[in-house]
This record gives sequence, structure tokens and C-alpha cells, in this order.
Amino acid sequence: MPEKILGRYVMVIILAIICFVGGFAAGWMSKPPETQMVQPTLPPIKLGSVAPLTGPFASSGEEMKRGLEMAVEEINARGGILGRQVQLVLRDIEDMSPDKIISAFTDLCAKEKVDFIVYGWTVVYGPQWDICATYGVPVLHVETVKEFDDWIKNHPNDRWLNFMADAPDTYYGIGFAKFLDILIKEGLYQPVNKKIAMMRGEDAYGQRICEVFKNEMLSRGWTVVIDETITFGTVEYTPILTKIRAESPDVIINTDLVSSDLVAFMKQFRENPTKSLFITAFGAAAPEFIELGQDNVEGVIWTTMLGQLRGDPVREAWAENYKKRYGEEPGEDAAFVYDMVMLWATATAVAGTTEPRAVCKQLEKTIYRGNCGTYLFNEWHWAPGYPDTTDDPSLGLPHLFYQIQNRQNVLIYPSPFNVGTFELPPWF
Amino acid sequence: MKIESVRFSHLLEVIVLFIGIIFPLLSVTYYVHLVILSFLWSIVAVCWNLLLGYSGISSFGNLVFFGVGAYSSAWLTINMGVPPWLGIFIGGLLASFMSILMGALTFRLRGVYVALFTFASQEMLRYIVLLPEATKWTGGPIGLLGVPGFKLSNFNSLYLNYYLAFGILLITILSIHKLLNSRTGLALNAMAQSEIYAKTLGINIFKTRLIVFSIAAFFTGIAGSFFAYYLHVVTDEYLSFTTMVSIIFMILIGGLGTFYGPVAGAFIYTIFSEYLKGILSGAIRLIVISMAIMIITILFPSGILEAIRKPFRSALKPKVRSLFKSANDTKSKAKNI
Repeated sequence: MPEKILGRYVMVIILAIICFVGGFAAGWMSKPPETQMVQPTLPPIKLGSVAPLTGPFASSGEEMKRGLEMAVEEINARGGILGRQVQLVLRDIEDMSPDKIISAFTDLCAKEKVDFIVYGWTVVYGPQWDICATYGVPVLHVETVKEFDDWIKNHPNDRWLNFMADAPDTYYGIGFAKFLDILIKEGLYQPVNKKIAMMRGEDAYGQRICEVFKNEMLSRGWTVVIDETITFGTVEYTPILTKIRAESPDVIINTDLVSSDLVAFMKQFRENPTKSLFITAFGAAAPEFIELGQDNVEGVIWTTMLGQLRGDPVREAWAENYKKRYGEEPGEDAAFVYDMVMLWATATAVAGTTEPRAVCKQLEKTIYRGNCGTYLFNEWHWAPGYPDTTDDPSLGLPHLFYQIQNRQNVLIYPSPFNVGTFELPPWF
Repeated sequence: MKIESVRFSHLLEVIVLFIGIIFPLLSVTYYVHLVILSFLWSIVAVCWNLLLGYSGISSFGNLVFFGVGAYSSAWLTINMGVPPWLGIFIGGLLASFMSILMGALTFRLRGVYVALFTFASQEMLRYIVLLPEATKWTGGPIGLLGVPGFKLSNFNSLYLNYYLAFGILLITILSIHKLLNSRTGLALNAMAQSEIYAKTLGINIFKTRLIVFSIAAFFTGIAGSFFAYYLHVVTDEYLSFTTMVSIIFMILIGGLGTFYGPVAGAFIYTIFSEYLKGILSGAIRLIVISMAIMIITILFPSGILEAIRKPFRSALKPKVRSLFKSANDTKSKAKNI
């Protein structure tokens, strides 16, 4: 072999070794997805999960991973479930494209043969549940979509294994409208022109929240003067702000899921604000929203049908452990993923077996009080919310409304969970 | 850039074909699934390489055809009951038709403007499918769910998809091989070297590009349709920038302007990325992948396949020559006797 080519190959081999040693060393130091286990006497129970550890949703993915790790380590520290340790098998779904989600679920079900899957949310609804149904692997998640309801109704033979630990997204828009009704009724806020500017997030979640909210508000005599879709990653808002400043609507609703997009909007809005309430959804839940936005996001109202009960003793104890471990406030994704793992663990322990149907049968009747409220599934395998679908605050997940006050997320609605009250934003 | 002339090494191809046929029988579901994805991405990469590597067409909008194929065939099957076997063909034809419309505008431009125009077309299609007004056709951000898949009596659906994807890849490769060895292929070669010289030879640049563009679009559209039928869902993620970059990586890894390079690149990229997910977490994995791509593109600008073939050719050629030489010597000695 000519010397030049041989030399090149030697260089490649050396570089490849450096690359892989460096990668593996970094991977070792960054804690691999599977948790370290105490030497078991019985085989571990394999808990599968997926999360967007890279890509545009990585901040949520990191929170999900932390929630999973905390829950699994706590369970194992107490001796595991039924004398067996829990082994977490986590796969990255990156930008959540369909092929990556399906590959991850196929990996978990067909190759890793996990006993149960707990995951947060994705932007694809259906194919992953079909894979779980093919392999008989139960799945618990918070996709928060109407498509889950449709899947349950269209898959009578497989519905036993699929659970959604919150309500479908249609209740977001209904809850938004009810919240405004409460503010007006209690004299905390008076609209001037009953105009709404709607900035829809490009995903299904964002679109549907706005669509249902729009219908609710139109029925209350409001008008939607601006209705635009915002793509993820938008940083320049001059065109839409020009329209907003011309219309001066009473309410601006923005359902973009990406926190940095929302922060960019608020910064530009606050340069010349209108007297409009600014309401958003889950995009403001990430801790980075206040970190990046600082004073620019004071007064922002955000809502989630599934979020931490700040000020609640169950949540505060858990959040204290989270802060000790990770040095910062926990995000919503960590809270509800932790809750779901504990819910699953409770059901499995009470069922007395890891046999999937027995676990799911127990899950149907388990009442679990977690960081986000009470989880109790209805006949359609989703968890109703309070006050949207149940009047009993002890049996439903509260539909939470937060307002950022003094750089803190203050829960302002619903009672009896609120710790503060609504204040007019500083730009009014 | 030197473009590889098309030659087949028959023995190696037969071996690969044999492995391809028996692979699903020896492997677990997950790996069969990964290979199916690799087949589909190979089709897209091979077609894109036909444009970028062989034709000098700096198209960065091939996912338009992928998306047109996927959305059209999925919609027809869900709403009009068109069987997937027919839907996949219609998806390819519609993608081809779209390419003629696009090409008519694109090929009036030159150089970087072709890249910008085609990329803008892809982005435009992505925003169109997300429009609230388009929801009844495209499903909006949710996409089209519950797309029925291929069925053949009691045949295992995973195996069915595997052999279908394999078959389509083979047909794609054979078709492109035939194209490149035809008069059109010679014209492409001339155009890629020098457009002015090609014109002086009487080659109709516009027409030749349009033919190649539509052939690449046809097979890319078929790959898109297949994706929809296999994954049972179509979303705007099929048109994303990330997907586009991944395919370009596949082509570069395998070798731009080489014949089998994009296939090798698609397999390496798809399987390597998935394999690392079980070992490395998050950003570390992406760093390793990026470093691997950097190393390959710097050290092997002709692609990894060429890097493997060269030393074998250098090592084997003298041996083969001496083998033939001794065989010829024996023949001529026998003649002289």
C-alpha cells in the first residue's frame, strides 16, 4: 500500500480513537441514560421513556430526564418495586420527527422489551401507541390532545394499555375563556374594546388552544382582530407588533411552545406596549422563561392544565430535593414526569405483579396525589381537570393560571390552590 | 470535481443482494426497521446525488417532491380509498409533475440562485401545509394520521415493507444506472464539466436538466409516499431543514458524485445515529456524530466508499493483472505448441 495512503489511514485511526475515547469519556461523566443499579437478586423492571434530549425542545427534554431519574432513584433507594430494582431505558427523540419517534418506540418495545413506558409529550399522535399495542407494552403520557380520545375510541381492543395523565387540549381554550370571565366578574379587569390578537404556535397544541378559545370568545361577543401562526424560532416580531399597536387589543394570546420565542416577543412588545393582557400557555413554564426575560416578562399570565402546585406542601418538598440536586427551580416537565413514574410505581406495587393487564387494571382505579394535583383516570383513560371537568378539587388536576410577579411564578387561579391574586401588568 | 464513471462490480453486488434478501430472517424487528429507513433515505440520497453530483444542479429543495409524494398519496388513501400500491405510483407522478413546474422556473437561474430558489420552494411548501386553510388537506400541524399501510394477505407487514423498500431501491438504482449510461447521461457528464462546451455540442441544457429533475423527483416522491404508508403518518417534519441537512450529510459521507456512495452514506448515518442513542446521551452524541462527519469529509472528500475501494483496487489490481498475464501467457504458449 503506498506510504501516503497508509499514513492517512494511520491518522484516521488515531483521530477516530481520540474521537471515541473523548466521546465515551464525556458520556461517562455526563451520566448515561440508564441509572446505576444496586446489584439485583431479581431481574430489574425495565421502564422505558423517550424525551427530546437534543433539538428545539431540549430544555423540556432535560427536565423530563431529571424527573425520570429522580423518581427511579428514589424508588430504587427504597428497595424498588416488588423487590425488583427499576432500570430506566431512555431514548432521544431529537426534533420529534415521526421516524425518530417510531424508531425510539420500536427500540423500546421490540429490542429493549421494556415492561412499561412513561413519557412526557411529543408532536406526533398515534403511531407510537400503535407500536405499544403491537407489542402489548402499556404507556402513560401527557400528550394532552384530542387525538388520544379518538385513538381510545377507535381501538377498543388495545385501549387497555394507553393512559393520558391529563385532559385533552380542547379544555385549554374553554379554561382560558372561563378565567377571563372570572377576572371580569370579580372586577379585577375590565376590557375596553373586547378585541383579541391571536398568535398561534405552529404545532397542533398551539393551533387547537387558539381555535377553541376563539370560538368561546366569539360566543361572548369578542372579536379576533389579528390571527397569525408563529413558527418556532421566530425572533423578529416587528410586523405583528405594528398590527397590535394599531389595534390595541384587550388580550394578546400567544401559544408558541418555545420559551425563547416568547421572551423575544415580550422584549420587543415592552419597548412600546399596548394595554393588553398577555396570556400564553406551556411555553412560559420552562425556568429559562424568567431567567431570559427578567423584567420584560413581569405581568405575563400563563396557563397549563398540568403544572406544579407552587406553595403546596407535596410539591414544595419535592422541589426542595430537586433544587438540592440540580441547583435550580424545577420545570413543569420534571414535575409531571416524576408524578407519572410514581403513579405507575404505586399501581404496580398494589397490583402485586408487573403483568401488563393487571398493572393497567390497577392504574384505572389508582388515586395518586402528586406535585401537580390528583390523578384519577376516567372511563376514557384520561385524567379530568378541575374546574373544567370536575367540581371536586380533590379528584381533579387543577387547570392552573400563573402570573409572573417579582420574577416569580405566582399561582393566581383556581381556588383553593392559588397563593396570590391577579395584578394588572406593569405596562398598564 | 471528478465524477465516478459508472461500473458495476458484479460479485460484490451479488453478495450485498444476497445479504439484503436474507437479512430480515436473521434479525430482530428493530434492526429490520432501521434498514427499512436506510433503504428509503438511500432512495432520496441517490436521487439528490443525481442532481448535485452528476448533473451540476444545485438543488436544495428535493424534499418538496418527498413531501408532495407523502401528502398526496396519504390523502388519496385516507379520503378516497386508493390502495397504497396505486397511491405510491400516483405520489411519484405528482412529484414528477411538480418538478417540471419547478424546473421550468429554476433552470432559468444559475449557480447559487438555483440553490436559493429550490430551498425557498421547500420552505414555502412547509408553510403552506401548516396554513389553517390547508388543514382539511394536510392535517395542519398534526398532519395526516392513521395512514393505512401495505397489506398482502397474511404476509408479515414488517417483512412486506422491508422487501418492498428494498425492491424500490433496486429499481431506483437500476433506473439511474441506465440513465447515466444513456445519451442523456453523457450529456449530463458534458454539462457538469462545462456548460458552454456542452452547448457547442448541440446539447439542450434546459431539456436535459428537466428530464433528470423529473426522474429524480419521481423516485423521491415514491420514497415520500412509502414513508407515509410505512410510518402511518405524514407531518411537516418531512419538509424540515434538519431532514434536508441529514440527507446532505448522507451524500457527503458516502461520496458526492459516486454511484453507490449515497446508499452507503444513508446506511452509515441512519444506523450510526440510532446506535449511538443507546450509548451516549444528548448533545454528546451529536458532537460525536458531527466530529465523525468532519473527519470523513476532510480526509475522504470522495466519500467513505471510495476510501475503502481505492486500497483494495491498488492492492488487487497488480494481482489480477498478473493472474490474467499468466493466463494469457499460458494461452499463447498453448497456441504456439
